[in-house]
Amino acid sequence: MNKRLKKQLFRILADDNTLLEKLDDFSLDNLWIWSIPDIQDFWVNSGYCEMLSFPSDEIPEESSVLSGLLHESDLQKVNSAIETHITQETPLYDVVIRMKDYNGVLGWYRSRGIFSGNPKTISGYLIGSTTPLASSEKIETIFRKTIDASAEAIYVLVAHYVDYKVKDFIIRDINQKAEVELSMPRKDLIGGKINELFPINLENGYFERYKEAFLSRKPFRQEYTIPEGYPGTGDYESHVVPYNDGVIIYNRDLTQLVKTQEELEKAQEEIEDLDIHYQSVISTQSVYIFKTNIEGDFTYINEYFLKDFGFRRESLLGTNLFVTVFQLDQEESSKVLSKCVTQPNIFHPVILKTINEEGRLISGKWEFKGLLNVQGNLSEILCVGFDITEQVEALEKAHELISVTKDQNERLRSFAYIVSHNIRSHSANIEGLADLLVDVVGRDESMYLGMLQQSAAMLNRTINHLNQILSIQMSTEQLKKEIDLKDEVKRTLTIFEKQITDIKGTIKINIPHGFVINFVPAYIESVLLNLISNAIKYRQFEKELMVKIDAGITDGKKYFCVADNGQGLDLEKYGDELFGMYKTFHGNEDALGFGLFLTRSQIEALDGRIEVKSEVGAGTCFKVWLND
Amino acid sequence: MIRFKNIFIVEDDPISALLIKKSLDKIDEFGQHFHFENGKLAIDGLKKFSRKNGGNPDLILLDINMPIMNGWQFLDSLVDDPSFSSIEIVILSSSIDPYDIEKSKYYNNVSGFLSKPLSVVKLKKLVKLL
Repeated sequence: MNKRLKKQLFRILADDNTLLEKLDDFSLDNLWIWSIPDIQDFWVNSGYCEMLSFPSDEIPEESSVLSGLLHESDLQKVNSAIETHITQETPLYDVVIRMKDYNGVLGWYRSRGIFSGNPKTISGYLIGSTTPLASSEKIETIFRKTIDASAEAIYVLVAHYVDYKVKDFIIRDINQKAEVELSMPRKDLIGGKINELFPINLENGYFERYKEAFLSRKPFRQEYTIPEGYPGTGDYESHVVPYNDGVIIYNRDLTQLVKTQEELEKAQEEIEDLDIHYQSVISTQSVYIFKTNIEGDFTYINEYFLKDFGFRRESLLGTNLFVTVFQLDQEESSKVLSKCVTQPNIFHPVILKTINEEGRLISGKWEFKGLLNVQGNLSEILCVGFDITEQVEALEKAHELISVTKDQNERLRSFAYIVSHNIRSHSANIEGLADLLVDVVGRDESMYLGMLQQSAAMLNRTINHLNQILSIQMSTEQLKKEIDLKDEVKRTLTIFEKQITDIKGTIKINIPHGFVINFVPAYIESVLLNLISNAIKYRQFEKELMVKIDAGITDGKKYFCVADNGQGLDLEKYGDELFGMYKTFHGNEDALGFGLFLTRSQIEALDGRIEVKSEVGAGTCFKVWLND
Repeated sequence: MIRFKNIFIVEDDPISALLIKKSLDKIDEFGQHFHFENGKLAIDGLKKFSRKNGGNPDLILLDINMPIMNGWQFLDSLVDDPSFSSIEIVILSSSIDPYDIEKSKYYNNVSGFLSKPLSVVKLKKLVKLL
């Protein structure tokens, strides 16, 4: 060990009592003495060696062994601390450094000392003591987290000395924000000199200002701009805070700040626009919207509601809905309001009547909903509604019509009964009596009797027809059955078999196999009978009769046709009357004018439809559409 | 040859009743007939007849629409009495209401439905059926 320095130390201590007192303030455990300016020349005591875990028998003789333990990054810091202490004549040299111990474990230590010598020539001795700092790793982790969490870019710069003069700053550390700002990774920056990395610092004089802050120990604030083409382009507000080894720079990105502020303003504008939009949507919607408090006092009413009802907002707000708008339906509206309280967050529909300013009754379909606030408590009632006055009136009219129709139907029923029983019994008597008279009257009167018989028979037939038509209206649905149309047609044709053979007519059936219709059996028989007999009746006598019966499905609807090559009809002339009762067109004596009327009644009673196409001299085609 | 010795005519309308009687008289198969103006009288008549003759009439020609007791009510009260359940009944009605015809099918003792006016031809057909 450096015996010379040890002796020197004791001599200094002996000479200068105040020095010992000052040193005593911290510690004398791990004592050392450095010669200045040659700081490689130093001596440490055994406590110092113990602190760095050197075994007692391995106390290093060479001071270079000890100086090699200092973390190389801290060398500058040590230099600058010494310079500051000596040149500025500060009370203490005080620095935190990293050193490796005997086992190579890196640790944090605090070194404090006092210069003894000539500050002008910077020559003499630095005498001091070093103490270990606990849990340095933890501190570093916390430090890292803290600076990384900062919204400002933080640069920890260490003054770089050349000949005890600050020539540059070395980047010791930066936080994440600074990494982002410069778009460079931390590892590429740490250890670098700022004037070399960012020449702009020199060009714009930033370096001079950092240096001034560092040396004067006075923090300052500046705004500056990094032009385009340099790392970290933008406007900044910079806080430069000096510390022992250098300066810490806190950079606030003004560009980002301005941008954020602009975005915030824009967002605010958008929100306002949206608000206006929704306000106008709500006001111009053709739905009524209002809100009340839990008691039912109006807190909001949309424009449409006010306009449609002719109310004034000022006179309505604050009033209770039972008292003003829904006074006609107080019970109903209070019921729905209590539903909103017991079952909030779902719509409760209700129809309520209101008399508007003009005195007109308006029926509204309303939906009430209890709204919950952020805390989940019922805070207000929302109500949306629309005018259904027309619908309600139409419904009432429909009900009226139904009851009228019902009455008429009832009367028709009793009429049918009277026809069926009373009138019919008299006509039957007349017919019977006329038959009876044949035996007793003389030859002269027999002609009149014949006429009476015929009249009686006609009357009977008319009554029968009338009754058939009246009974068509009665409950046809239950009577409907599935009918194979082809079978039905064939069965009907057997009735005409002889007649058709006699007139040498042909019937062509083109009905798909298994073509089933849903119809009342008696009606389909009657319809086919009527249509086929018409075809036969109104054939062209100079031509052989040809009747085609076919069936199919068009647009999902079943139909069947009976087409003939008969006399045909002038539809323009008779079209409207063709299906009327007691209408005859051919001057045919057999014609009763009843068949087609009955046919149409039967088809329409089952929601079907009959169409006719005809041409005089060419034939007629009846098409029956079924509602099937 | 008389097949139906005793015939009850239950009919309120005198003309109709007359026509029925006249028609019956013209056919050999029918014997004597008794006329009642409504169902109630006919029931009484039936009881009196069975007391006197120890049996029932061979045929009842029954009208539907009658005052006091109509045809249906008459049929209902016959169903309740087993001693009358075997009598042959033909409904003779001016009604052309399909409902009446349907309804008559629910009575087992009704063996026919004839519409008025009754004629000799219709009666002869009936005799063949019964």
